[in-house]
Amino acid sequence: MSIPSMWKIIRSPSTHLSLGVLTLGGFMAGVVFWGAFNTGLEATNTEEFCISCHEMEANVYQELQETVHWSNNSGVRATCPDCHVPHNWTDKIARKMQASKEVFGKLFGTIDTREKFLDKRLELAQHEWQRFSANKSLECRNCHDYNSMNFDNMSEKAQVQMRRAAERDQSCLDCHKGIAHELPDMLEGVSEAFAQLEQSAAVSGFDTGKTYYSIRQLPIYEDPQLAVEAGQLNAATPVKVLEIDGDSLKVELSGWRRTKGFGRVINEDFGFNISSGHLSKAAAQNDQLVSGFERKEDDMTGLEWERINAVVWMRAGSLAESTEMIWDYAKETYQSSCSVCHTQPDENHFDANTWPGMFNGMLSFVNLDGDSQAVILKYLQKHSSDFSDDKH
Amino acid sequence: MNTNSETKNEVSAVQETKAFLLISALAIPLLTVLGIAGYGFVVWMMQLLMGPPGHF
Repeated sequence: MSIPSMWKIIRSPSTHLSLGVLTLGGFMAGVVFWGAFNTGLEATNTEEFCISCHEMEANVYQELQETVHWSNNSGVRATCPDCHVPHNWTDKIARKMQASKEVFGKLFGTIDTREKFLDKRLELAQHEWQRFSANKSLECRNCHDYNSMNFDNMSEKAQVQMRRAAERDQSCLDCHKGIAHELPDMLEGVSEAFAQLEQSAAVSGFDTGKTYYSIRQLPIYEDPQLAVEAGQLNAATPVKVLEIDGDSLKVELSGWRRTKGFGRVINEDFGFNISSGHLSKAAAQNDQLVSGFERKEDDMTGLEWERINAVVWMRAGSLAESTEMIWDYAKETYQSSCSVCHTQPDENHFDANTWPGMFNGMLSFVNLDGDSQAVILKYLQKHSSDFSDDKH
Repeated sequence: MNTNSETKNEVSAVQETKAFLLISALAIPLLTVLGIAGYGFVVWMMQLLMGPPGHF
């Protein structure tokens, strides 16, 4: 039968089939279709379906099995679609269409090895984090509801956090990233960037009388042979070159220290806990190395501070002419590593003495090397509300 | 049932049944699936433009 003649039959009133047959037939077809459609939709919404791809089975599925969402006291567990497919019909259909991209990736082997997966992991995780952040972790909250939480059963530490989160109706993933799968290696490349900074910022020739800035934490010595250690110079700290002896520099480090104790920690300015470095016990008490000047009492703590000049030796290297490139690096690293989990506060949101506590409290969530930590903390302190024109 | 005047437009019961099955079992279900897929696709594209769905 040709298509035009078929079309003509379809367009005309039926001559053989009764109205009853047509209605019943259409109704039956509708029921069958609806059932089949939902069965199909459900079939693609099972864990078996998800892990039928090796990419899911070998990576994220294995990691899930180490977590509380796989096995726990109550015997309730979350399957892949519980968290990763929206339950709302429209969003679910859109997500199913979005999966065409995953089919594409499967066909072309975009993440068919563990290495490829790890390389892509941050990007993939960020997609999910974005989604959870926009819907305030709706998929978590299909099971976990602030209104049903018994805060009294929580540990004191958890109570404080959870009550505050409930008040603000906070998105779960703001804090609970990595709850069901391993976290991406977020700071890969930071050490590399640091090496790059050192390469491009370090000066090779030095002039006496000029001030240079340490790029990283550097050892300081009592003697030009660099044999007796005198302590450590902090990153991004100015030193004035007094004398050049081959590969060694005699430098002057100015700052303030508390007179209580051995006076080993040198801070940049009176009353500010901005570290310029620290001295060994012997060096700190050696009048030949450290000369003291005026003393002032800090009203906040009642402790007495003393202005000092320390004259020490160091290796000629890892010094920059200005802090410009160091701050650029610190700013970038601060923004990129902190923004992975949350909106980082503005530099001038805290004052110089508040930043160390804030910063150190977050360090366990990232893996920054010591030099990067030192540079970023100092950057934050030097750009804090104490040094910023527009106070926060 | 068949009169001489309508011989030209003669439609047999078999043809009509075939046509009925074609649209009810094949054409309409297919179009429906396509429509839903298209709808999902449009929503996805909107999400790309306006960000992922928000909080209800």
